[in-house]
Amino acid sequence: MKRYLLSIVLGVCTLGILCTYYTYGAADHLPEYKLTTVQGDPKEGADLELSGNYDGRMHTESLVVNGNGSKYRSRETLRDQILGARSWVYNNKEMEQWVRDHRQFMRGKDQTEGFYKDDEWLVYVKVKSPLGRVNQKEVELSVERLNLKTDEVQQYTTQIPVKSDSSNFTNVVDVQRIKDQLHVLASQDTDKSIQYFDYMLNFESGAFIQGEQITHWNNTNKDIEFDYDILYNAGDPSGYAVFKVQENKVKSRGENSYSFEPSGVHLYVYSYQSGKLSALPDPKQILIHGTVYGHTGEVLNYVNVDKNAVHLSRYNLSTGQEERDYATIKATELDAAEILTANLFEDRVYVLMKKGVTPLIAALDVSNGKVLYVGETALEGSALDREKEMKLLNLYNINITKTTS
Amino acid sequence: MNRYLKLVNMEIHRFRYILASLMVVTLLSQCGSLIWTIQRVVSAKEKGLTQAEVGFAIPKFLSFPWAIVNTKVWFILPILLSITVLVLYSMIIWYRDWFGRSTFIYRLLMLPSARWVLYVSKLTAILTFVFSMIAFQLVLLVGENMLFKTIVPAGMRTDSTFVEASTIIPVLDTLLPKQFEQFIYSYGLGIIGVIVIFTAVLLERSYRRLGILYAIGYSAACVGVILSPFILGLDRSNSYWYPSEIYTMELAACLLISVISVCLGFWLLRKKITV
Repeated sequence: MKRYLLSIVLGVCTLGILCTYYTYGAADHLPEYKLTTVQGDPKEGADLELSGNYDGRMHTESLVVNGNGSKYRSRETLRDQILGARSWVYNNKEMEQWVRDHRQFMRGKDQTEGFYKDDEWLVYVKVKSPLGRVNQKEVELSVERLNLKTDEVQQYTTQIPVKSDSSNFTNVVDVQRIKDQLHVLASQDTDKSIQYFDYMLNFESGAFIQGEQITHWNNTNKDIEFDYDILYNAGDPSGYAVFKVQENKVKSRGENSYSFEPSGVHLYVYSYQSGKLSALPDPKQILIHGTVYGHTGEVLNYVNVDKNAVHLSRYNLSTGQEERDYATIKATELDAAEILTANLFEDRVYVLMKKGVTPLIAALDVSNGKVLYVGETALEGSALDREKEMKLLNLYNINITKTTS
Repeated sequence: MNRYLKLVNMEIHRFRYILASLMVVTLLSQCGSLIWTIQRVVSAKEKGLTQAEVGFAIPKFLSFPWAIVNTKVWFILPILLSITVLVLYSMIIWYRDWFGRSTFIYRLLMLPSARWVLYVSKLTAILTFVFSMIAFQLVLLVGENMLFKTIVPAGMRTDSTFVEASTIIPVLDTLLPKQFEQFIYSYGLGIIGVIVIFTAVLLERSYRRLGILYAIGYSAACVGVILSPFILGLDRSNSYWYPSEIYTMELAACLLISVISVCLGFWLLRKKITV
């Protein structure tokens, strides 16, 4: 027995130390937070998460707080990292739902803008090799469509003409079906600007019918730069595409430095049916940095946020009529001291606020601004260091985990 | 079973001085650098010197994780040295039987028990060395924390958790993951690595010069299979495979490599290595 003493001691000690570590020592003692209901329907808060940092350690700890508790990023394992890969695709709730319902069809499809869905069809359009050559005259569109009633998949490819003089990058930004035509809205990037084109295909055969350049944006002012964006439609297909063009005033432009300041936003609506692009009444004078937009079906909502209030406005895309500030919700009405940010998702406005050191979140009905839910972030367990631990918590983002209806 | 335990004991006994040396080097390097780092900051704080005067950062309060971060190189070097020695010894554990005095392998292979026992005992010994070093590092961290508290006056320090210290630098975070599941993944991959090295060594011992090519080819194929699910495009959003499928494939690849390597190793020991 004495001969084996070294091995026995080594084995027993090693096992004992490792077991002790994973039983007691490996607990990180990070504070546990939870989103709790203060007023309203708890169901409205069930799909909400707040993300940010906990600054009570030498390294900042990223975390997410929801109704079930808090999830720290440092607690993730290899499995969490692999399963959480491509979160930029699968965090989109529509995509998540489609992957669940049509797993085989959704393989390898990652561009949310390339999808179109109605009661009968789920269509995906992408540009094959979007990075074209200079002076290329055509690019190839690949269209896949799934019949939701029969689960039958059809696929076709179509050549579409592109501007051969300067176009070097073509991307699908929206897809709509109007009667028997499939409209593919594509952007073509050049060194100077982005232009948008509406390509019409026969929905049954995929044959190319015609293509129209719908924007002719030119920038001649060197001190002004534009950011072009198309607002994602979170609602039912409406036959409209909304463009947001942000105007930025260049403050400095050096070899190693570049700075600008947003100076305005222009909104344009394109009707697939009429083929017309029209400017929405210019909201430039009222827009501030905290403006959030949401395109849902035939309505474009926008929310202006300042420290003291949330102002809801909307456009009817079919009439172009604006209802500015149709509802204003003050921070005091939500029992908050300060409003931080807001988010629009389908028919809800989510508002992140603070009261003292406590982050709060509210869910409002976008149609009338009615408060449906208010939740607060609470520290679980011992209340000894509550004030200190709440001060170290900084939540910045609202994540909506709700599956689209 | 008795023969297996005897063989494990023999392997541990043969490595005892190297293992003890690694522990002593780790102890001296980590404790020495920790004492030096803490003392110079405490001394500067006691004298009321500023950062500009001493030429290094002086925090308002000292914490144990801060001390580890600031002694980083001397903290990491002995750990890297230990890893290197243990990886090399995974091969030497076989070769020393062939090239040591009186070609000891002949006696081992002629033992009246199945030859796979020899394979498993060597694997057990390597794992015991690895986990002993990990356990030693854990105990050392506890001791170093006590040392820190002894040197730094209570008014100058701030408390920290044990996990904060054990995960503050990436190498410690990798060696001592705070989730047990991650521990299984990390050391599971490590065990597969040792098994592949064993099989490569046995291929070389079985086929000599040609065996070197087989060993290199086999090791490269194993690395390829383990990495193949990731090559299929885990981070590529337009990949055909979903992350959950890639995770399952990765588990299957690891299991496949382990089973094939162990079976091949047993077969080589039984059929190809002759005395």
